[in-house]
Amino acid sequence: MATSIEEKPDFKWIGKSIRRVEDPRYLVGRGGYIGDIKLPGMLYTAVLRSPFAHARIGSIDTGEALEVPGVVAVFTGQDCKEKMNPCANFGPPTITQYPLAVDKVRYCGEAVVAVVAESRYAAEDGVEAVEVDFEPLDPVVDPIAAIGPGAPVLHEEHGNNLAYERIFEFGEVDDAFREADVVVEDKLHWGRSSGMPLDTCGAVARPALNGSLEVYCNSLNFNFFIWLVAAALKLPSNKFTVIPVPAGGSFGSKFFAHKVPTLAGFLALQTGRPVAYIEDRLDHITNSDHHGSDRYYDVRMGLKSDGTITALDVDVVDDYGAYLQFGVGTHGNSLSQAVGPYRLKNLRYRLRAALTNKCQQGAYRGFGSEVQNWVLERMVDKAARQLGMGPEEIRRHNFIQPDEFPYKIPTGNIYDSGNYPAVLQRAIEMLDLDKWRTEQERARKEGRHIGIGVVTTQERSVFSSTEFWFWFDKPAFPLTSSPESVTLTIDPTGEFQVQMHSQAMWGNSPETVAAMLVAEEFGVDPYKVNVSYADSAHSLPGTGPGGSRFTVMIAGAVRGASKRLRAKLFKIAAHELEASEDDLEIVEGVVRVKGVPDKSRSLAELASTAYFFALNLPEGVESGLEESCTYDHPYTTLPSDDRKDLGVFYPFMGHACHIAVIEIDAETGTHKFLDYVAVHDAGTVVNPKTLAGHVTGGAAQGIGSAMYEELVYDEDGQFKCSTFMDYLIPTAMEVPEFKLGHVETPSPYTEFGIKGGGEGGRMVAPAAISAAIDDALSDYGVRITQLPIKPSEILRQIETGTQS
Amino acid sequence: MRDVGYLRVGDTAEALTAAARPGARLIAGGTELVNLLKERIEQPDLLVDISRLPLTDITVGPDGLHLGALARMSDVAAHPEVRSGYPAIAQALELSASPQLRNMATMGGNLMQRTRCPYFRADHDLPCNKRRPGSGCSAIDGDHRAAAIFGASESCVATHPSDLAVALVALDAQVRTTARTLPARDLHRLPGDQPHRDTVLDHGEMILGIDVPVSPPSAYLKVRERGSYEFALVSVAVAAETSGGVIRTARAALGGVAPKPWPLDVDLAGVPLRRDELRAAIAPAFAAARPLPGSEFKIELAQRAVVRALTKPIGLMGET
Amino acid sequence: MARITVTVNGADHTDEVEPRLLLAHYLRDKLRLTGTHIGCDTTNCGACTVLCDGLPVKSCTMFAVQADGREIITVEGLATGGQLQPIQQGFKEEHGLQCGFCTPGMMVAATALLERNPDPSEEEIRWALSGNVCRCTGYVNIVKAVRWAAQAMQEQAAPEEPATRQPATEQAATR
Repeated sequence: MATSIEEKPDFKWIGKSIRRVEDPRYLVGRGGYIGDIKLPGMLYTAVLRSPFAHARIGSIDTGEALEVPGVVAVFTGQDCKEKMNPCANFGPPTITQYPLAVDKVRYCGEAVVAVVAESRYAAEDGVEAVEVDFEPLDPVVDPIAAIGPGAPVLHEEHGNNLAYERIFEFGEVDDAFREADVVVEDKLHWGRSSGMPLDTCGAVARPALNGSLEVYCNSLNFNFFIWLVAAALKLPSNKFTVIPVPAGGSFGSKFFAHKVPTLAGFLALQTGRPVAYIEDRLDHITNSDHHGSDRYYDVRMGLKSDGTITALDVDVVDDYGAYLQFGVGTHGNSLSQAVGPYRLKNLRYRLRAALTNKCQQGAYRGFGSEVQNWVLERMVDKAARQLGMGPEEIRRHNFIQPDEFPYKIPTGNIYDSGNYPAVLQRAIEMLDLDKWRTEQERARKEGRHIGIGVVTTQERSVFSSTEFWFWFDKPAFPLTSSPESVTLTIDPTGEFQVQMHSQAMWGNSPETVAAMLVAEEFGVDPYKVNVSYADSAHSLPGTGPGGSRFTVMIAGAVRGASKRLRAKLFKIAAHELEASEDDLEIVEGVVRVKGVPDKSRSLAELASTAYFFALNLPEGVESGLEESCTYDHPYTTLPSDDRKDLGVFYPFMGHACHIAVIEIDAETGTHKFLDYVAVHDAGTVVNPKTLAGHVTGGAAQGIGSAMYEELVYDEDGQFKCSTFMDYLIPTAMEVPEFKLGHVETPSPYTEFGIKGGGEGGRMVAPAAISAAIDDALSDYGVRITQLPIKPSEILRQIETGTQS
Repeated sequence: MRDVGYLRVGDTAEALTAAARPGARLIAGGTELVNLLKERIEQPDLLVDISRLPLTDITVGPDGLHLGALARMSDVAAHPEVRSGYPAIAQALELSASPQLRNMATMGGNLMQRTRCPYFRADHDLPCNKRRPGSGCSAIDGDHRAAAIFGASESCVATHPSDLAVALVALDAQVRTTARTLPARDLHRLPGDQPHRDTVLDHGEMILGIDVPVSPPSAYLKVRERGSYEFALVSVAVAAETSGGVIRTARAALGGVAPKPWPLDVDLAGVPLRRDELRAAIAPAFAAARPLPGSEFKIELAQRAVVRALTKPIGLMGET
Repeated sequence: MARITVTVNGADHTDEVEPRLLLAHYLRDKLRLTGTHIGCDTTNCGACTVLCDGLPVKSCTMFAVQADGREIITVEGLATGGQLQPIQQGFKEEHGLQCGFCTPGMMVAATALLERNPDPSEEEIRWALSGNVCRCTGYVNIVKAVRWAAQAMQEQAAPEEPATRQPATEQAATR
């Protein structure tokens, strides 16, 4: 059974729903976002965006723009090509990108010219005055056609539009299908949506002393790869410093968002003045480099007649857009949990990455694993219907059992722990599934259409960069490190400082987590811990947030630094108290001899000694109280040479069951939520309130991807969603109240047993919603095979009885 | 957005003089015009700010409802006598835009909204006869899920976005301008070969108010993908007197289906309030529908909406 | 250029502005009140919501010249007497914010709601906030935060003398 709250170690702070330490500044309008920064002499940037999906850039006339009052300078892609290197890139070297398009534009909205001026208004006036001759080329919009014969080529140097192709095979797939009693097949399409935070990407770059460049920036993960941005700007890495700025949301879209700071840096170097480039919404929605997955699947699943899943065959074409900055990493995420929570041994996974005239993909909450969840659950549901099994029945039958962990899946990744039957059971009880099934029947007799969608999915957490190995036989840029660091300081008066490395606050609760962990370690008040963020010139190794890794990794680093700091405190205290270090303990911020509470020193007293009375320190102890810890990924291995085993790269396996109850209005195709239960297992929960926030916020984004949000390009590659009037983000009217539950199976491999949970409900909700709609309209044979689900599609299926 | 001149006027006469200047454009709440300026769809030389003129009255009398052109959407929607006597208007307003916009936007401005066709609103200048006469229509061969099924032409298939206008047509309202009084149903025009002209108003002509005769029970039903702050896939306003489950008189108008609010010109008197009979009665009005492939679903959806609006009570937040 | 006088959070400001200058930019760039955020540029997201003569409006879709002679309240003007208002406390108590970017607009819109309707239902809260997009929270805790504030306001003792508007410090907001 799952570890119950009672059996958990006796934590003082971990597991408590405390108010966030980050909140006060935001409540009074002092968030300090990138748009709030104003440096003396700062210039502003506006960019001219391509009106064409695919075109050659002819002459560019900037003369008139330079006459516009306030305009200081105008730059083109040619300037970039002459003065800098291509942008950071983990994809094929034959696909290069500059922050301003060179020679060709490859999607609607791609930046072509940057105008730098004394105000944003003047910069936009300047953009209006620029004349560009475009020679339109045939657009490549359909990804299947893009990789077929005769398609126009986006990148001549690459030769075709197939950026990557590989087939991975695990187990005996063909045999398993031959021996299967039932094979279900489907074509599925997961449409393109995106994190779309309210705060866009932005950077303010300032030429600083000694020829160095300082860049204020709300990108995340910059520290890990900051030298790549420096390299693009032809600067030595020690002359390029990023100062982290809080982001008003990321959801993946600021994951190493490198183009914006690269462009701001370039413009500052060229003008010699501080330059801000902050995307407006249009820049972001068309040109962010962070559209989400856009996948076309042919899937087959083989089963035995008793419902045992034996084989899965996935053939996916992913529409990556015009560039491939992160390679095909989003499919590594799929492979980390490709078989879901099920005991499924035989898997084939064929991936083709297509280049098309669209904004390129980046990261969006789930990083592609949420798509695999949806596909897998769609197929399980289809099989269950064919076999006459209930959705919970087929899942229970195939679950990996609690006593099987750690469990190695066919791809080689490890699932560390879990209790899937318990999560499902908890969800069923919280919803009162029987009650809803009765209500469903009753309503059906009245001509109403209520559907219940039950799904169970994985929520992998804490990626390790070893996953970059397995895509290629000889990876060009293999790496195996993905650490996180913390510096912990007790200042001369005994107050705590935590410094984090490689990121700033972006909407999760890094400061609350760090403060709670310090409180746990030292028995101090978490609200008295101050948290700050190092700039890249002063930061220790760090990977940054992504793949639900931050809480686990920061916990490891805080614990490591705490151990070192406590050891030093004990050494000093033992010396002062004339006691053995082994006899000491810290209780509520006081170091004392066990069993002799009077024999003690407060942290303030010890800090005072450490900073100001070196002659009182024991032999060999240096002044000061500061310790750092760089915490490496605790469990990761390399892939095998033949790639039959991809190694361990995403082992801390969260799990979730969502049950959505939806009523469909069969006359209009519209829907409403009647109930929604979400039970998650993210291991030991640090702060139930903030974890619940991620589950809820993620589920709301899942609702968006499932029913509203789509970044649409028409047949000419024209972008059809340039505002939030077209890209429909759910409002308070569309998101239901959720009933939330947790089952905690602590990870055996992480500090405190924490697993990541940041990607939350988006890993699950699209599958639950799809299943609920199918169920509601089962009389009509409706089956959801593409997202987002539009009312017009529901009506069409009801009307024609055919699926898309 | 280009810079622009600005003049705030103190009375209607001053407004008329200023508005008559070439390149002048009236601004009241600004919720539509500011966006058109930002998107560079319109680039007037002078904004004539009429927002402080005393045209904000909302009066209900024995002869009906009178709305000043500058009455705010939120004020009209919240007015108790509008809600009780003219619910289709209150509902149409409440289901429009968002609370903040309803606090700024006015009656006249709402009627002067321009289409939401994505090609008209594109962030750069695409072929669109409404935006740039003679440039062509991108929607006909492009994405036209939102396109009109009635009244479109070869040069434009865009729909009109106003919810209020649909209610006013169903309620047989009149629009008073500085030059004339005309039925609400004649305010907006079909595109023909001049799609850049949305209404019949002349340059410099200004809406002063709206007069709505005493109305039978009315309702407004809006079908859209997101439950708030979205324009209609289709909508319907009905005003009907019934007795004993049979319609005595009824007027209805459709939104989201045509370049203007589309009156449902069928005689419903004597039709029982039952689905099949209603469907049969309204079907002739849809024989004239000429959808594009992507907008065909609107024909069925609109008919369902009409039946529902006539047969089911509709709450103020659109719930049925 | 046009001369305007706007009362912002109780203080009068007179400035020469371009007619095209948006109110949001006037507040942020000219007055350096950066708590009013810009999220979408097209009137959709509500991050820029301020009160204009007591009503929530979108400051990104209003020219500063249109605000001439009006009274504007921004997030910086919510707190009175250096103390957080119940709506601000509610967001803190109920974890009504994650990244904080939509929060000022949400709190401003909710303030107007509570002024008009001191005891709103969940449905009324959701409707009143339907012009404000939050990308982090899924709204559930925002609704709770507004309910928290409504309750706190009702529980408050007899009305006191209105305190002068003065921004709460972060220190006052801590805990």
